[in-house]
Amino acid sequence: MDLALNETQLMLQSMAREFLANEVPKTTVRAIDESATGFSPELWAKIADLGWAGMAVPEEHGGTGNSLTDLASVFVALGEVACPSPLLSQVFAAHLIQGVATPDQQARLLPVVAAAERLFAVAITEPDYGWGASAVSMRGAIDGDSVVMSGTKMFVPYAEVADDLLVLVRTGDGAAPEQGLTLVKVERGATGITIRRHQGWFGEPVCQVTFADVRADVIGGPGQAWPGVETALDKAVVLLSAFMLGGTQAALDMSVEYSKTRMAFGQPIGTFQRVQDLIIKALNDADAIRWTTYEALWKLDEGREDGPLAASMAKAVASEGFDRACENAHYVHAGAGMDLDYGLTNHTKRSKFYGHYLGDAIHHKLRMAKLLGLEATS
Amino acid sequence: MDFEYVYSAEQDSFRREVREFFDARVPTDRRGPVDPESLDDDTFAYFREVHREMGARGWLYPTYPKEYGGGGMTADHEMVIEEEMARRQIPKHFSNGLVLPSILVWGTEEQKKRFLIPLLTGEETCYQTFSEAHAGSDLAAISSTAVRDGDDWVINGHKLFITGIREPDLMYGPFVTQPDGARHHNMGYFLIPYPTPGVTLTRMTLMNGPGQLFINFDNVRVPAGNLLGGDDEGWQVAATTLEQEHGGRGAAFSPDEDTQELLAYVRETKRNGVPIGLDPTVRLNAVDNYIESQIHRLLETRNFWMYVTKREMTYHGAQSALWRKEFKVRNAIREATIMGPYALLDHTDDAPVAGGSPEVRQRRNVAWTHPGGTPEIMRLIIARRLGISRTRERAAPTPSTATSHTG
Repeated sequence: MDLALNETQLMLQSMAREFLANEVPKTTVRAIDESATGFSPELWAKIADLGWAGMAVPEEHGGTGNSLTDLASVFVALGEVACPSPLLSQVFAAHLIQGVATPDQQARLLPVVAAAERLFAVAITEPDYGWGASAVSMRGAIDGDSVVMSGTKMFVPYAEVADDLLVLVRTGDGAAPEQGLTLVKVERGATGITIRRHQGWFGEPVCQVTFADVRADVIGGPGQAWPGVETALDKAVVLLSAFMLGGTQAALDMSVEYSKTRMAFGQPIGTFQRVQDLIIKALNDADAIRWTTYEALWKLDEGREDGPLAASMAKAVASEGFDRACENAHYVHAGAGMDLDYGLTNHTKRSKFYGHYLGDAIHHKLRMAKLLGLEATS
Repeated sequence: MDFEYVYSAEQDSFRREVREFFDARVPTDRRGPVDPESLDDDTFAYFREVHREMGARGWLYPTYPKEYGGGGMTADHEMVIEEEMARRQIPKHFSNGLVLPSILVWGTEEQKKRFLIPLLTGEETCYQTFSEAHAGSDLAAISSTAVRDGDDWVINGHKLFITGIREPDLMYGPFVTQPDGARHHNMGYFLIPYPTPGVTLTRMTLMNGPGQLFINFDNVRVPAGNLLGGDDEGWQVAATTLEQEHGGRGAAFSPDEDTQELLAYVRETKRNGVPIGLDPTVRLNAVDNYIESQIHRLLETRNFWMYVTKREMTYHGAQSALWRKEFKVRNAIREATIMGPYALLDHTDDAPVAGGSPEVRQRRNVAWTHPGGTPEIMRLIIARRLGISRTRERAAPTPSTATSHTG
C-alpha cells in the first residue's frame, strides 16, 4: 500500500504548477474564457511543447506512454488554476483511437494526436441529451470505409477550433443500444458541417455541430465502437475528476485563506463556527473527490475488473462535490467571491459544466447500480 | 499509487495460527448478537472466557508491551486478529480501553504493573467515566470532586452515559481536585476499582438500548496511588485518552455488512411481483449508501497509511470520525426509505429483514453520534487543526509521541 504520488508524478505536478503559475494567472483564465473562441492557440502551443498530450499515447506511436495517474497529476494542477485548454479533448481522442481504431489507423493517427499537430474534438451527446449508448441516435450509413451521416451533436468542447472531429454515430440497429455504434473521423471544415458555439455560462467553449450528408472515415470496426468508447470514457471521466479535484481544492484553499484575513465583528471570520462549517464541508468534498479519484486511477492503471465502477463513483462524487464546494466557498466569501477578478468564479463556472460533462452524478450512480447488479432485468 | 494492502508472509502464517485457535475454540454458531446492547448473560460469560484465553496469548491487546500483559506484537498482528474476529462476529473485549495509552504515558512503574496487567490479560474490564449531566462536550466543566484525606482521595458526584455492557472491575476519569483552580488545571485523573463502597451503578433507559450506565459516587475512598499524573494534571491525562478517541489510526480493512445487506435486499426483493431494483429511486438510494460507505473506507485507509508511514496527521482523525458518525445516520434514513417499515422489525420479530439489523441501525446510528465526541466537537477539532479557530490546539502526548510522562 502506498497512497502517495510517485517521484515522476510529483515532478510532473510541480513542473505543471510552475508553468501554470507563470502562464495562466487568473486574469488570463478570464481573458481566454471571454475571448471570441474561448481558446488560446498560444497557450495550447506551449502545452503541446510540454508533451502533455503525448502522455496518453504509447511510445511506439510517438508518445511517452505514461500511466493515467501520471497524467492525472497534471490534470489536478490544471484544475487548481481552472486552466482553459483542450487537453482533455485531445487526450480523450487519444484514448478513443486506442480503444476503437485498427492498428494501422492507430499508427497513422496517434503520432499526430501525441504531438498535437492537429487538435481533436469529440462529439457524443445529442439534443436528446445523455451519455450512455442509448443516447446516441444520429444516423450514419456505412459506405465502404466511410460513413455518410446527418444529424446534430451538442455540447462538443472546442469543436469550433479543432482540426478534426471524432463523432459517435449509429450505423446499425442491434438487440441492445450498445450495438451498431460506429466512431468516425472527419475534418472540421468538411462539406456539410455547421458549427455554432453555445452561448452561456460554460467555462469551456462548447458547440453545437450539425451534419448534413457529411462523409467521414470509419475508425475501427463498423458498428463495434461502444466497448472501446466506454473504456475511453472511463479514462476521460477520471481525468476530468482529477481536474475537478484541483478546482475543489482551490475553492477550499481560497476559503481557508479568506477566513483567516477577513475581519468582521472584530475578529477573523474563520473563528465563527458557522463559517467553519462551510469550510469543513468543502474539506470533506475535496478529500472525498481526492480518494475516490486516486483509487479509480489506480484501478484503471492496474486494469482491475472494478475499474469502471470506481470511475463512475469518482465522477459522481466529483460532480456533486466540486459544485457544492464552490457553493460553500461563495458563502464564505459573500460579495468578494462574486467579483470576476477575484478568481473563485473561474472555478464555479467550471463546476457547473463539468458536473454534467461526460455524465452527471445521477448518470454515474445509475451506471454504478447496473455494475453492482441492482438493476433487475426480470 | 497502490491501494492494496499486501499481507506479509508473517501475517499469513500468524493468520493461520489465529484461525486454528478460533476454529477450535469458538463454534460457528457462537457470535455476538445483531444488537450489541442486547447481549444475554450466557453469551457474555462465554466471550469473557474467550477473551481471557486470548489475553493469555497476548491477543487481546496485541501491541501493548509484554511486561504489562500485552502481546508485544505489531499493528500487523493486531490487524489480523481484528479481521478474524470481525469475520466471525466475535465481540471485542468488553472494556473501554482508551485509558490504556494514558496509563502507559502518565503512569508510574507501579501503576503500570498494577493496573495494566489485569486489563491487558483480560482478567479485568474497565469503563471510561468522563461525562456528567452538565459536562458532555465541555468536559472541563465537570463538577464531581476528589478531596485528599490522609493517604486517600474521597470522591463524590456522578458520571453518566458510561458505556459498558455489564459491570467493570475498574473505572477511570477526571474529578475536580481544586474547585477554585484554573480551568484545565483543577482536576486529577483517578483509577477507581469496582466494587468499592459508595459506588452505585444504574442502567440508563435509552433509545440505543441498555448499554450505558449512570454511576453515583458517595464518599468513595481510593488510595493516593490511584491518581494518574499530578493532582492538577487530570485534563492533560484525559487529553491523551481523547487523542486516541478522536485521532484514529485508520484501518486497512473496513468491513461493511450494512451496505452489503442493503444491496442484497435490493437484488432479492420483489413487490407486487416486480423487483424493487426496477425503481430508479431505490437504486439511487442504495448507491448513495454504497458511495458514502466507500468514502469512509477510503478515509480510514488514508489514515491507516498516514499512521504507518508516520505522516503528520492534523484534521484527519476527526474528519474520518465526523464522516462515520454522519454517514451512518444518512445511510439508515435511506435504508428505511427503501425498506419501508420492514426496516423497523427487530430481532425478536418472526421474520425481520437481515435478522433485524436494519432496526438496530434506525435506533443506534443516531444515538451513537455522541459517544467519543459529538459531530460538533469533531468540527471544532477540524477547524482548530486547519488553523482557522481562535484556539490553537496542540496534540496531546500519546504512546507514539511519549513513552512515559513521569518516568
